[in-house]
Amino acid sequence: MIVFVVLVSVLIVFFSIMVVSLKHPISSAVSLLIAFLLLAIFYLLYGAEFVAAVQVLIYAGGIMVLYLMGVMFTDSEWIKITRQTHLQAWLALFLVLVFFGYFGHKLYHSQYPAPAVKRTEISIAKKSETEKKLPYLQRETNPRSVSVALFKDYIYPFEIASVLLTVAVVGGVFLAKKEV
Amino acid sequence: MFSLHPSWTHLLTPEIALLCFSIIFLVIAGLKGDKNLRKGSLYLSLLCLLFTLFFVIQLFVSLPDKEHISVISTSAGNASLLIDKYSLLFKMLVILGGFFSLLVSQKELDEENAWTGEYFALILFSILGMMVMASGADLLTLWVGLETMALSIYVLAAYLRRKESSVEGALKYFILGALSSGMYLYGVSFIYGATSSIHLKVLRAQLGMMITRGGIENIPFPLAFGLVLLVVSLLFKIAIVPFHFWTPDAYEGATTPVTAFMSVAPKAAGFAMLGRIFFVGLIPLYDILIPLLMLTALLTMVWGNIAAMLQSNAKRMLAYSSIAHAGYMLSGVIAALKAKTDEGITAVLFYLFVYIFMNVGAFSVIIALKGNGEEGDRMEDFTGLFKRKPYLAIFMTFFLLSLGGIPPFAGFLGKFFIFMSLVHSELYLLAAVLAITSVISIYYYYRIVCNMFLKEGVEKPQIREGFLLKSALIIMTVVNLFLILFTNRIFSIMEKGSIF
Repeated sequence: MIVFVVLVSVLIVFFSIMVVSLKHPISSAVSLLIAFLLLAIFYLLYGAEFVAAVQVLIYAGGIMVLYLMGVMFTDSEWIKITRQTHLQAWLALFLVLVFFGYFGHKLYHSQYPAPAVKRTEISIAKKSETEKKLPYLQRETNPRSVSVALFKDYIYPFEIASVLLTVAVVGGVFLAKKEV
Repeated sequence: MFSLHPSWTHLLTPEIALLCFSIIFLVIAGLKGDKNLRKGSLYLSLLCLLFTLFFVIQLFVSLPDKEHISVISTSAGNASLLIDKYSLLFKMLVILGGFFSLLVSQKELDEENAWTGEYFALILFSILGMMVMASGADLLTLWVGLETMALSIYVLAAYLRRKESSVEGALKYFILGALSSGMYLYGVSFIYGATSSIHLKVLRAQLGMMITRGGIENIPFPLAFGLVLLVVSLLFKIAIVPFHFWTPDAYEGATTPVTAFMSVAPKAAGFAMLGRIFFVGLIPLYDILIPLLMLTALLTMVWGNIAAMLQSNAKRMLAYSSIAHAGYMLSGVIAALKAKTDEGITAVLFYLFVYIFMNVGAFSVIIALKGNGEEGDRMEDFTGLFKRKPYLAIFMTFFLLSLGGIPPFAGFLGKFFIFMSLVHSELYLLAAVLAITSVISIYYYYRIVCNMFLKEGVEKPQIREGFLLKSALIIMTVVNLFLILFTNRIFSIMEKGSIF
């Protein structure tokens, strides 16, 4: 399993770098798509099949289409004349490597403490009558813990997130409108 | 076990009301442009904010002191939303800041011919986000509130889309803001990994346990790493010095009422969030936090004031001065961390209250100067203002002296309480730097005063304020002048905002 995890992680990092370093927007978009799909595999490896399915549906399915539509509507001639790096790039690369080297080393050699709270955050405290009758509802499944988290424990941030998305849409439309 | 407070609809009235109000403005934004309708929406938005303020005050009066009511508890029994006098006071400050910024927007929107419903909707949405920030008790709720606020403000900063500086400032703000949000989330993911909870109470309990077991060194590296990222992103949001680079550009580019709004309301909300995270979650770490925050506060006070001296644009100068003021307020937070009493928090609340009136006041004079194709924010625009419009020059003098902390004005009281809280918690170095940098700040505030009274200006066309701008100027001058008479009453209200 660890071999797969390392392989998938390395591939994700590789394709993410490709997203920002490839010149043509379509190739960037395709690299992003591959990175998203690999991320879904990564989630599957850790047993989060619901998140993996959502990842494929929403990111690889929905958002990628939007990206490609966006690329289609933009003029790609200017790409040939713009540089993708500037003078600070090497210094930045050096600092990033130092930073990640140091913290990666520290993180690799440090132990995560054993969780003090044992999955109580997402466990179901009380079972209702219907739940007792239907045995498959008693199992701690992935979609179930996700929905308990979303619609019970974190209902307030979930609702406020709808406001957040409204703001994003309104702001995006406002900035793209022609007339004030 | 998961539970909702029985009267949660009552406790969340202000938020629900504000959400409904902001949706009204989205509908108005979609209507075809009748100009009177758009102007009417300004009055409507002021009315909406007054209603929301009324709901908050009603809750504030009905709530018992020093009680933190948990509106939503998760399955594990941790509060994820708290309504207490601390959060309600910050909500009031945020609404007041929004109210006065809207009150002074009429002239600017006329000049730029930029009346839209989105302007009001976005301001109301961002106030909603700030209210969530004030009462969130877990890192996720706080983040969602923060992002709601920030996204609205990115758009507001780019409100004048044809102006290059506006778009530039907004883009810088957006990129750096997105970076700091990423840092926040990255940090929270480490914190969650190490404590398997995002609740501040649990974080505090676990930190306390680790420290009693084996001191600071017992905190595992991933947790420490996450906490550092969390603190840095918080300091970024309130523009503390090593993380302040977005402030001057964003403030200069944005239209002036938005700048006024950006300088008061998000700052108040940022301090609410900072206070909640520090005093509920990170309080066991005070040993490390105090020297770290002291360093940033010192840098902020010194650099904010020095950089403000070098500016030739009044809005940029006020941006740097707002950085310096954030440093003073951060000192109040440090005092509260050190003494573990509410005194510092009370001082910060009082300061934020006063700051709304003096800062929005100064910005509204800049708005009044705008016109005939001139921005009104260069230093030269103030020359000879006394001859042209005597009362405007006198009002501006009051606001600037108040910002500088000269005794009879309101700003002095704010600084005085922070100074006292610093002395009481034996932070003499911070107190001394606060006093010295305040004296430095008088130099650049005085430069504008000098320009207004002593220099002869060139002949310029008549300045016209609208009715709303005039009334806002009068309200803010009156508050700056006479707040000292009601110090006790306001201080005793602010004292109720207890976090401990």
